[in-house]
Amino acid sequence: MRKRSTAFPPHIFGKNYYKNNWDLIVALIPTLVAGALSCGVGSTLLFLLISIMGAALAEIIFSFALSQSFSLDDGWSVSLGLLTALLLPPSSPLYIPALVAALGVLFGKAIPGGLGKSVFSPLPLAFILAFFLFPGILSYSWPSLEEGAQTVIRAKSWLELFLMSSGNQALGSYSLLAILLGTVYLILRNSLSLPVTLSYLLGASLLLFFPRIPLAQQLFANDALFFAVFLVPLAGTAPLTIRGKLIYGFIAGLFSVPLRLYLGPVLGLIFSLPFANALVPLLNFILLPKARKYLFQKVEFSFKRVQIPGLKGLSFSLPPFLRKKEKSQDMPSGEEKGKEAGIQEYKGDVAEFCSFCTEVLPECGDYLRKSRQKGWQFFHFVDPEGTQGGMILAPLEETPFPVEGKKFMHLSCLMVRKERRKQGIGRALVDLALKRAGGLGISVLGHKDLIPPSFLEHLGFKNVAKRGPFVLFSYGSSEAQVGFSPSPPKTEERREKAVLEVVLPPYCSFLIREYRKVLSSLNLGGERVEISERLILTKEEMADFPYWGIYLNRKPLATGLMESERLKEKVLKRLKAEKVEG
Amino acid sequence: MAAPLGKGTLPLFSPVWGEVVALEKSLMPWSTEPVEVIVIMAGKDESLLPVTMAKKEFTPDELRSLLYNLGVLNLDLSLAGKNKPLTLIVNGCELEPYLTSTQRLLEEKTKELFWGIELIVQATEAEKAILVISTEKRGVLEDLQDLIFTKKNISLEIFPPRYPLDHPVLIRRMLNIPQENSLVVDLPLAVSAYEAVALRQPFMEKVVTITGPAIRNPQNIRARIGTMLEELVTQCDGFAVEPGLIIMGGPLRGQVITSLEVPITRFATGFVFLPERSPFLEGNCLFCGSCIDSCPMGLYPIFICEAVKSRNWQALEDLEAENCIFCGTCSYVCPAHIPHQRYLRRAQERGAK
Repeated sequence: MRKRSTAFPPHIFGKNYYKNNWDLIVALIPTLVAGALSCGVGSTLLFLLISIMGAALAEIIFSFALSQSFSLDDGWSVSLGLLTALLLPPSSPLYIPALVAALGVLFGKAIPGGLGKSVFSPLPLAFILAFFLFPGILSYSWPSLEEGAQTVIRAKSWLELFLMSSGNQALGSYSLLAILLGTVYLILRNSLSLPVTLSYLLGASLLLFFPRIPLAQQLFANDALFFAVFLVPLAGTAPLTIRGKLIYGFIAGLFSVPLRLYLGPVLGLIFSLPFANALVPLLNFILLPKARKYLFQKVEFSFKRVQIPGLKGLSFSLPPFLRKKEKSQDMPSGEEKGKEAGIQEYKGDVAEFCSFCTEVLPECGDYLRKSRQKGWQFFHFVDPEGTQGGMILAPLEETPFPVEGKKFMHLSCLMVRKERRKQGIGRALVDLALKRAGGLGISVLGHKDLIPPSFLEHLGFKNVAKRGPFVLFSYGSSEAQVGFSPSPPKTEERREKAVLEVVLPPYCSFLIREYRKVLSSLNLGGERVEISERLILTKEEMADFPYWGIYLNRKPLATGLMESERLKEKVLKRLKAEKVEG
Repeated sequence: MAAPLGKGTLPLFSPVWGEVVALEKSLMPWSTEPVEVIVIMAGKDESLLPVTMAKKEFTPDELRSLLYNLGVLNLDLSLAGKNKPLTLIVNGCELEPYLTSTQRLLEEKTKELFWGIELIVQATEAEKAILVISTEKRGVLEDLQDLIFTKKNISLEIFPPRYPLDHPVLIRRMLNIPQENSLVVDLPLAVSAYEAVALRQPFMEKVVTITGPAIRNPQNIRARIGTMLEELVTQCDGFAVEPGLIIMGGPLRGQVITSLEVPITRFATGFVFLPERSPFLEGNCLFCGSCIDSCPMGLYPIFICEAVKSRNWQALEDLEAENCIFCGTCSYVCPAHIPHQRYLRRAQERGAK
């Protein structure tokens, strides 16, 4: 029996872009034949082979360099190689097609994010770069006006011009008939974006207003048609809506008029296209009103994911060699660092212990002083610039979390100054704590704002229990069970006033400030609620309050900070329930 | 047989006469707590005999309760707002590829359909009824126009056969009728409304299309609710190829089922059997803009996808992700086969929070 699969709707699809690319390749064949008949079959085929090989090799090399997977079967590189060969003058040296095709692959497919992320049409960009890299070599010998006119006059009939007009320089622009055949094929296969093609032809035909070039020659200078059909509608470089595509095509055609007059037909077209590409973000901005905010939102640069505003409104991943290398974690520990830097026992005023990292509120200072008297040990990491990190070690009997089987030393207040993070200071502090624990395990409470769980996991701590935003970690002993104490027994005493308590460890002053802000903004509509803060750290205190957060009448209400509206709802609901019980 | 559970539910009728043996939990598509009712057939299958009724005038209330009790339509719920004038829209469009069951009903039961529409108009006290179809068959159209000519309050609208136009939201928009003034009823229900009132036959039959390249002899089958899909497939001479993907509903909106042991429900319009799922996986977005051009609701699917990918939830409001009707057009036209629907579903789930 065949394996049955599931999928998200829809289950049938239209054409994929692989097929579009191969359609383009098939459509280019008549043009290729016409070019080969005019310039010699052998040389044309050699030319073609070199450019396609160049494009394919470039794709393979770039994808290995960027550690991406390559997909030659999508036909993109092959069609690019074909277009390169057809746009180059047949007289150019043989390394030029390979080079231009490789550059095209670089701009079109190997750029960060891959296919579809290039803002500019890749092939014209590659041509322009090659034009400036090899001045004189990649130049189209545009016949003078008189010469051009004479080639047209030399032709015996209009039919001959239609079949095989000479006087053009690119391999692909010899026969109007061949290009038209390709166009018809693309239209029949529904692979051509007609709005772009038609409006481009309209814009480019404004050249007719400049009578310097004879009409007949203009009509049979097939480059414009070649561009309009095979190059300009390339997906990704045009705006997203049909109206945008019409405007874009017209503008691209319009730009080509002066450039064609002064640079010659092929070069003019090549140089004009990037100018039109540059207008695409603006057109998208105007024509997609709902996406305006999204397209031009705040710039966010991070090293792993880069977001470019305006251009596409999208983000892409940087290739691995451009990413910021993470610094090795094997920095020398405190003892090896010598005299200047190392971990010492903290001897100063305990109230200012945390001041290098956060602001310390007076209540916290008092609390820390008390806990030192109980035997808590304070350590800090000092270097010539001052204190860079610190931690507090609870004596064994003070460990706030219940331990079965084995004893744990509780580590708290582990912090490192923001500028000195990821340099091994935290690791050195934890190593010292392990030494102090002397064979016992360590337990740490992680919280995304205080000690990030990811950091603890990185150091090798094991995730033991989770409650609300807090995660309990242990290290060093796998059998022992560490956990949060069960919820406290219900207190029967009744109060006249509801008490809203914030229960937090002493060293997170900034959190206290946030909690206060939210709680004071609560407008409880006449309910008499007293708000107080409570700082706890020791074992006895933790028995009453199993975890940090907000408590209402000694019963847990919220484990973390939430929006004031939601908090208010919760408080009112709880108060109501208590009244009903009473 | 089973009483309705809450608002928006309808009574359920056993398609055969018999005794209820067991209630079992079973696998059924589209249901959160599926319960299978097993009935052992006993006695004569009397429901096959048509009951001839003397013609009787009904009041709208009587008609509504009759339709409700026979499990056809719950019209009270939709009339809760009592917005008048009300327009009844009978949705006879069937634009999903492969499915033809509604089309066949329209061709074969034209007279019944019109009687059904008249009944529903009477029950809902609607001002007029519009029959929306998208057929192109000339013979059917002529028949319909002849019949329409004799009716005063029923008019016919012919939509171009472009896919997402069979969605109620789009039908309302095409006809320019606001939601509160309209009631959209599917065409098969109008036919069964006639059967319920004239023949006293409860809702227990459904025309389903069994089709797809993997089926040897694709057919439309009038099946009783609860019939196993396996039996219907046997009716169609089995598989030509072993199917890799079985879709309940049309291939653009339907759900995938993996087993043939699925009973026909009242929501089933057809089953499509495809040899395998599309092998092409999600590619890079090429910025061709076809999803934006094709979206019937005027959304920008690709931007919503990118916003979901980068967890940019604030942007979803500006991009109006909640308006998506999940027609699947964007994914169908996408040359890179980006599963827009998946991201849009995620966006709507996020928006609902």
